[in-house]
Amino acid sequence: MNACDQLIDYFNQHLTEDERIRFEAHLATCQTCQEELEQLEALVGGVAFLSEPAEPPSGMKARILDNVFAEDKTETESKPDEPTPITPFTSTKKKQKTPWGALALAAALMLSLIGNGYLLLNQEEPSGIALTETVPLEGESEGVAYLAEQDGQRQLIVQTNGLDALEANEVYQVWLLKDGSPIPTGAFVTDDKGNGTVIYTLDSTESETDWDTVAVTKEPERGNTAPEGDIVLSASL
Amino acid sequence: MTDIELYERVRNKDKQALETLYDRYERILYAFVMQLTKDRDLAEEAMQEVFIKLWRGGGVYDESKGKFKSWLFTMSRHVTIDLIRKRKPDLQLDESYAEAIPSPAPSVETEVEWQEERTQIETAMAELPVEQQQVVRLMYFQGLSQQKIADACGIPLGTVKGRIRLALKQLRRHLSNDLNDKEVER
Repeated sequence: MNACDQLIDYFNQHLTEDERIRFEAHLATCQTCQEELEQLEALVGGVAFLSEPAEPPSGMKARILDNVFAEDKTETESKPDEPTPITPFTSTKKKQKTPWGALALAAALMLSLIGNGYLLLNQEEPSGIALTETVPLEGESEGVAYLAEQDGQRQLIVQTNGLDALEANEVYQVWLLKDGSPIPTGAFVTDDKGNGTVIYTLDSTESETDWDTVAVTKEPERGNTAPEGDIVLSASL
Repeated sequence: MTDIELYERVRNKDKQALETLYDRYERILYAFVMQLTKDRDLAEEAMQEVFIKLWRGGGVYDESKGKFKSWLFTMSRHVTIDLIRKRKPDLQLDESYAEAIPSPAPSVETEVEWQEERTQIETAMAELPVEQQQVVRLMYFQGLSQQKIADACGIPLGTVKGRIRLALKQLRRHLSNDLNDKEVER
């Protein structure tokens, strides 16, 4: 099945986690799908009015607003609903148990990025989250790197599919490079199809650096600060 | 105050603004999520998720994304389908419902606030050939997979997307004149 043929199932949320991530990588580069998704979404606001009238349950407003504002109180200082970087790449040497949590979180972010489909079509006015750059990765398999920006913070998102299976403590490590000098920007492990996702939030110094390359290497263990393994995917920024 | 102004205020944690937005959309949103869930409890849960999302800033709207209303309904639809999949993973197409192809419901609506929009979409839908109306409903309200849409309509899988595309194009054409103008004023 052609990737574009999954648009309806994507829109109606019938894709598996794997399929969805792959479709979103496709969507990022397919103008036709972007336009069709936008059209599907644009009409939701119209067809909604075809709904049969239904009387809201009594007291629903108070229940909902109470819960909404109560939710807010428990949020304390943390910024609401902002995607947090998923990977504890710096110090933990333990093998990450499963990539599914990471995938789900990536999914949440990707939803807010492109699930609504508008963003990719409207990159010229970033406000809130915006993709600033989408770069296909080249090398041993397929992948896409996205640079995104949210409230002044830059994020690097890398999605891959079809990477070789990892052994024992191995991880795939993402790097940003400037003039050949790399910094680690997140590690990930892949599922059985070689799919992996990583989201990395750049700190203020990193955000100001004019990175020229993004690369993925296979490292013997998590937490390397300089690459030991070979580059499996890369792209110029 | 426009929806967008209200939304901006909600972003700045203005409770009153969220309440106003709630009041403005409660009935139509509830009707919409009921249409999707066919379950009052689930519909209320979906409503709550939607407003929590708005309040906490999950999913960011800005004007470059098109109409606020479409964004809100798209987000709500997404949240609702998510909930349905979690709570009722085996929810299947109600065959009789699909076959009955509800023609636009007679407007017994007592509300006046949304009457105009309702009339516009009903009129636009009525202009479509029956098989296109069917595909629009199966897709938007039943949230069926492409395969199930094909089965329900008795058409090959490969034809579904084309039919949807055609239906949307027609709908857009019928809606474009008045609805778009309307949006600007709101």
